[in-house]
Parts: sequence; C-alpha cells; structure tokens
Amino acid sequence: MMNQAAMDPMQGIGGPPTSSSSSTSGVGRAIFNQQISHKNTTNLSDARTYMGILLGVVSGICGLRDLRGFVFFFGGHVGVGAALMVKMEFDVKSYSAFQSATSFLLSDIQKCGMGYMLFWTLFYSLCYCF
Amino acid sequence: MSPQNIYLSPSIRDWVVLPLLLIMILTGLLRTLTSQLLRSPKPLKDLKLKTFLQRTSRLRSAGGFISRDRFTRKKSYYTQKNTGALQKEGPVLSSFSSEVKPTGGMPNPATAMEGMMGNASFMIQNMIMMNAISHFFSGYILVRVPFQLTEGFKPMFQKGIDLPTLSTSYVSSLSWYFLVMFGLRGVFRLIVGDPSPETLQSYAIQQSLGSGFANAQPFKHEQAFKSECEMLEIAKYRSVIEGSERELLGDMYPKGKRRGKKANRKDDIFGE
Repeated sequence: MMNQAAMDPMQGIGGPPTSSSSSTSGVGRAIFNQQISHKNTTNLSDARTYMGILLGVVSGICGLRDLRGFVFFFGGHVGVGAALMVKMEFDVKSYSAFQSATSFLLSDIQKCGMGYMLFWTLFYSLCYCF
Repeated sequence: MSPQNIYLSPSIRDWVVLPLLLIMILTGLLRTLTSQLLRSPKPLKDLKLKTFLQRTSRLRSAGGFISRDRFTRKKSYYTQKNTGALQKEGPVLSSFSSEVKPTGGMPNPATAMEGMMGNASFMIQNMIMMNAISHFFSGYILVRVPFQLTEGFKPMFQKGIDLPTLSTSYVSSLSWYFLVMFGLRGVFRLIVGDPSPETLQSYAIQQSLGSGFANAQPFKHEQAFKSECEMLEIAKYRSVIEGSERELLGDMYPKGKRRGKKANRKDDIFGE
C-alpha cells in the first residue's frame, strides 16, 4: 500500500468502506478488503475486552491481591491472544494489522488492563469489604 | 504494617458505589449518542466531486479487469478535449460551478470549531462530575483496591479522610470515579456495539473530507480534476484477464495443431 501511494497520490481518496477495493494499481496481486479487516480488528478487540472483564471478576472473587492479580491478568491476556492465534492458524499478518506474534499478543493490554482493574476492584470490594 | 481488614457499611455499596457506576455508564452512553445525533452533515457538493474522482481513480487502478475497448471508451469519456467529464468545460465542473460559492480560499471556521466543541464539552462534563462527586461523596471510604499503593498517593486517593494510619488501599470517591472513567472505555464499545454500515460510511466520508482544521480548508476541485485528468491520460491499459486461462492450466494448456491462414479453426478450441 505504501508503493501504491507513491505511484498514485489520488488513490484511496476516502470512500465507503463497504466496497471491497483493490489496493494495487493493477500491477500486483494483493487484494485488501477494508470491511473484513475492520471487522477482524473489531472482533479481536471485543474478545480481549470481554476476557479482561471476566478475568477481573474471577480474580476479584478469588481474592487475588497485589502481584498475583497482575500476573493473573498478564497470563490471561497472553493466553487469550494465543487462543486467537490458534484460531488464525498462526498467520497473524493475513488476518490482522500486526506484523509479529509478540506485538499481537501484547496489543490492547492497556485498555484491557484498565477494564480488568475496574472489575477486579469492584468484585474484590463486594466480596471482601462489604 | 499489619494488613488491615475493615468492613464497610452495605449502605455505601447500595447507595454510592453501584449508583456511581451506573451513573457513569449512562452519562457515557448519553454523550456518545448525543454526539452521533448532533453531528452536522458535511457539504454535499465537495462529497459529490470527491466520489466522482474516486470513480476515475478506480478506473486507473482496476482497469485491467475490463476489456481494452471498454477501458479506452471510458478513458475517452473522461479525458476528451473540451467535452470530457474531467475537463474544465466538461459537464461535471460546469454544472457545479454555479453551485460552488467562491470562498476565495478562506477556511471555514464553523467546521473547524466542531471538533473543538466536542472536546470542550467532554472536558467540561468531566470537571463537573469530578467536583460534584468529591463534594457529595466525601469523608468516607468507598472501596478497597486489591493492591498496595505508596504513601505518596494518600492525599490524592484519600481526599477528605484524615486518617494517617489507614492503609492506602482504601480509597475515596474521587479514586473510584477515576477508576470507573478509565475502566469503562472498553465496556462502552461492547455496549454500543459496532456502528451500522451507514454510520461507518458517513464516518469514512467525513474522514475523507478532513476533520477539525483540516476540514476548514476548501476543496480545490479544479486543480484536483486537472491532475486526475492528466494522470488518466497517461495511464496505460494492462489486462489482468488476458492469458488467465493459460496461467491457470500451465502445461495442460492445449496447443494449436496448425498455424497460419490454412489452419482449420475447428481443431483449436481457443482459436490459437
């Protein structure tokens, strides 16, 4: 897509993502579907967010504290990423915008971490403080 | 310091912790839906011209999928001198010339202010909520975070509670507000869900027209049409379809028995 931008500055002026557009100038063979790419990214993010919330609830109910809670979250986040990679048959580049497995496993960790902390705090307080 | 186990009143849970969480979820949803409803429509004229230019750029990029004759005729329709659709005297620009008001190149301040107003309303709302929560729910502990914080966080997280020996893991209402504010970002996306295809399309189109100060600049349609016309004139036809059956079959592709004028056309399936 970078080569294409150099060849044609008017390419991809911006249009409805519903049309599957070719990102080449007719020279290459790669076909890039914006709609499916967006949907893949959304599904990956949603799966991670759901698991972050669930991990927070579990660790709060189990009474995990301090470092154990953070290790539990990190292990769970990486585990979810690994499960998604198995679903993608370890071909991360074809299904997502990430170029390496490490960047894929560690993506969205901040957003999911904040959600994890919220539900971890909430359920820990509900179970052990009230 | 020995671990402290303080049990809080269930009334705090029923009347403060859970209602605060609910209030923040509802205000976040309200803000999201309000911004969607109040999004002002972008000028239609620029949109029509830009989508027209997309058609010509698509012809250049994917013209190999149509026949040479069709490509040539489409190219001629767009680039023909004086009458082509991309020409200055052509039907597209001449019909829009009466509608497009000459702005003299001045940026439109109204569109530039939209982005700023959105950010300002978010900040104002946050400040109001923060002050209201610290005013109405001060003086008592709300929740206990399941990890130890350093003593430096004490004045911030235990605002309104003057207990030097209290563990820093017990926090006040303001801390709970921040925790909820940052933690609900991912949750909002799950609640609101994916935008409808029409909304996604409008976002993409608005993004193409620019946002904030970028959107304030007027779209120079004559210059864009002229450059697009020049690029289409020099574009060459490269077929993607021709030879595809030979590429697919490889060695299995049947070769013609005889060549030349005396060849029997019935023997060759593909007329080679």
